[in-house]
Amino acid sequence: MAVDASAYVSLDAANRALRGRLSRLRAWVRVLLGARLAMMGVAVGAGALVLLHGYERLYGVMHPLEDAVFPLLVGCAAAALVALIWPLPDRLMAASADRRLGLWDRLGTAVGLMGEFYPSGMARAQINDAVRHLSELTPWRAYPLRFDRRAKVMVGCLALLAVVELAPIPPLLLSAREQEEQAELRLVAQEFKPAVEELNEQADEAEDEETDEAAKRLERLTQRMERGSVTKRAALLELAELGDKLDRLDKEIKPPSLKTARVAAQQVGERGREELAKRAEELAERARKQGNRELEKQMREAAEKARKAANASQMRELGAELEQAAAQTGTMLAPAAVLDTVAVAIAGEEWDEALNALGDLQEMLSGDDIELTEEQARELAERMEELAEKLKDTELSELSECLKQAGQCMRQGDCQGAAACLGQGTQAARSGLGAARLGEGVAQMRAAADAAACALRRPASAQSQQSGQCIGPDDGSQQQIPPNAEGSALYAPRETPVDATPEHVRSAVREGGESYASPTRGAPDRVDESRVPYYEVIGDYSRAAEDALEREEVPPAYRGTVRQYFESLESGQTPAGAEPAAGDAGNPGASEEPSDD
Amino acid sequence: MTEWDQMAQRRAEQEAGRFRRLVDGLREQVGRVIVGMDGVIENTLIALLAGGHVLLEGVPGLGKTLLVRTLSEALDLDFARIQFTPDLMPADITGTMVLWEGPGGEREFQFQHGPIFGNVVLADEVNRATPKTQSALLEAMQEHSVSVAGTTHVLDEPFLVFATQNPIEMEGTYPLPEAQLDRFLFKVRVEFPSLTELHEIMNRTTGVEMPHAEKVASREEILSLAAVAREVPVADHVQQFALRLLLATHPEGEDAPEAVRQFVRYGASPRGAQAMLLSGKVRALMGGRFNVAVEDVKASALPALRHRIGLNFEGQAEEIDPDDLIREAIEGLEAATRQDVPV
Repeated sequence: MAVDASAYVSLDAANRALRGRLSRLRAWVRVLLGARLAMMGVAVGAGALVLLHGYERLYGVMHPLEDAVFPLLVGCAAAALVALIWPLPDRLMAASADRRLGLWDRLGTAVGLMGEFYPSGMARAQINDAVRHLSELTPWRAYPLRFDRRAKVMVGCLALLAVVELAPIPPLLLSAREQEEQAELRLVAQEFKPAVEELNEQADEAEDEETDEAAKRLERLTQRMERGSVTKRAALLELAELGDKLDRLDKEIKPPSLKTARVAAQQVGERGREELAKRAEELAERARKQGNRELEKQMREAAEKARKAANASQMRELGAELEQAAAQTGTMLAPAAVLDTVAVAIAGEEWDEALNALGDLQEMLSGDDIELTEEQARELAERMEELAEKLKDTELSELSECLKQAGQCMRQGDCQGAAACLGQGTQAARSGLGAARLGEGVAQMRAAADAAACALRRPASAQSQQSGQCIGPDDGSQQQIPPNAEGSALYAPRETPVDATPEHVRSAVREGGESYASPTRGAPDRVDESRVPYYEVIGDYSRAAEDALEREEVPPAYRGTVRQYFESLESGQTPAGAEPAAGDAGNPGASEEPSDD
Repeated sequence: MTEWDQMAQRRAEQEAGRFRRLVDGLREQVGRVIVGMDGVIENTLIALLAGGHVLLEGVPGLGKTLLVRTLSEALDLDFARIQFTPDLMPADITGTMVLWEGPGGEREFQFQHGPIFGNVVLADEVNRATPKTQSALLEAMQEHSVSVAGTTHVLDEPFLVFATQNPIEMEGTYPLPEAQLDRFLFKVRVEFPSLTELHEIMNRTTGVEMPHAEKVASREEILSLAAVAREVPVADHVQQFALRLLLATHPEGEDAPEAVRQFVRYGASPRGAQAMLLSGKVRALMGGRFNVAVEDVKASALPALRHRIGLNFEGQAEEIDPDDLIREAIEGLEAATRQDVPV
């Protein structure tokens, strides 16, 4: 019997077609599985965040999470990983596709028959039949995208999270005092918003991840304060935490101040102006000899301008003018003129200008067509060495060293070597400059955070008048009690009705670890009453206590008690085992409400 | 692929095509005489092509006998009918030795074939006979042979018994013994026709011309196509489903639903699984497929298992229908064995 071979598919071809289609199906299923698991993860994560943030916003007892997106992203990545390793053998895929597409177990049977050593005619017919039905096996038909219950739950959780994050706390849930606090927060936020935005831009430019994160956190907090979606207590805690972080960053960066470099460059700047003026006068003289009155006049004016040049851009413009004039007189402006601009730029704290000018010089020296006279090379070398000498013991010492080497190269007539040295020096200066800017940015942020915290600690009346001073922990920095501040006396300790000795001793530890004590008139619990809610200062006090514990100023036996005490204050409970300190024995209020004064 | 392989595959496809054409022809011919009863006809044809016996259960007058007769007409097979009555004896079925006198006056005992020696035997109202007589069918149904007076007589193939019975609760009936029931591939329930079907029956049977079925296939064709059906492959997971379903009808089975544990005394025998898979193969070919699907097994489960499940006293007292138990077992098993990815 003649057989039409084209009507039949070989077992190998059928096997390839079937496995290939199942592979595509498997890939699609993995995508869907990942999406499904991610949806579940996001829903669970968002639900947990809703609970946490909701609790934090209503009661302000927890620190807000730094970034809600991060755990959600981690969940998504985990889901993708699980989807990637989820076992999806061919048999399972085939059976699943059969069921979903109504293929009557054609694919599942064919996958099983593929493993047979020598399939019968009927088995071959079955495999052929399955291959014919492969056209129906489109992944998105078998597993269509559906907005199912899980997706709805996820969207619901995210919507809830957005409401909790963005919507202001309903006034119904706030007491009169809390509403007043919200108003204060808005006021402070509006006050600091422009500065915070500027800091954020600076942090973006600094390209430092941690600084950028801190700036964003500060900006987010300001936005939340402005929207009224954060309590005063949470805001203060966040600011305290942010302050700690910025302190850490500040210590890690240890930026050069560039102060001494600036001072050193003052003298160089003067010299630069004078040198450029001299070059202009030389050109004026040359123009006079050539009978070019107009150019002579122009150069004399340029000399005057050079002596009065206030910044690097003026110097640069003058340099360009002189270069043109030199060309008209048939000479060439000495390359050392660039260093005049560098000197003025450093003196004027125009670091970028200075480094750009050095870059120009490097480019000029590294060019193939550079031709310097012996005199020009010597002058350039001298100026380089002079600048190097001035910057020698400053924060730009690396640049100084490179300039010195470049000067030596120039003395030997090695322009390329000098250019290489200048390149190294410019790079070193740029990184030092970056660190300096980063440090300044961090310091500014720290100042902004402190200022915001300080503003929040002001009493409400002082807040509106913008005249009150900061009330805070007695750490000897900027916190002081306003002379006539009218606080709300919300957490005032009870006065002890005893006529104690009108003196008490205040003690503290200096930075070097040396302790000192000073007698002070007046019993502390009778002089003032607390005007600041304890939670406004508890962050600072507990941090100070932790620092003290770390510095071992507290005997080891008492550390547990101290920690317990502050923990109980944060949770608003009296510690079970915490005994009042000996000094507070006659002051029952001291163990319940720590005063800030 | 070698030419031989291509030929084998092509032959299989041609035979499958022939199979479908035969079934379609049979359906058409039977449909000319029988009105409605699609499920009954379907199951009867499946049993016929699977080489199994069928027990048709229904009240008198529903066309059970006519169905079997029409089928035998369409297939050109020897048809024999045995009306079972309480006084029917086994010899009346199998045949007996009679004294035969030759033309020369010589006498000898010769075996006189009973009505069992047909291709299609209709055992009408089989439950009206006593168990002793019913048991006369046992050997014939299982072994396709009859032993009389120490001699075994082989029956012609195909040999199919279509037994009809009235519902057990009717008076004057003897329930078939379990061993007897187990030999039927299917137990098919014949339901009362609907109003529309009754109209059609009246129109066909009260006119001048009575419809007749025409011959569609020969005896040899039936035998060869029945052999083709056995070649249909069954995937492991399908066979697994059938076997687990069988075990789910046992009260001690792992997958047995609660109702089975409560109301069943004994579950279906292995013949039940054979019946499901064999009939599944025929169904697959009838559906134009070359493989048995789980759906085929599920479709065959009720007729293949319902007569193989023995209810306990509580089940009988509660009038539990085995069909409900099987459906429950299928549902439970589907949930337990559903192969799917969690998307």
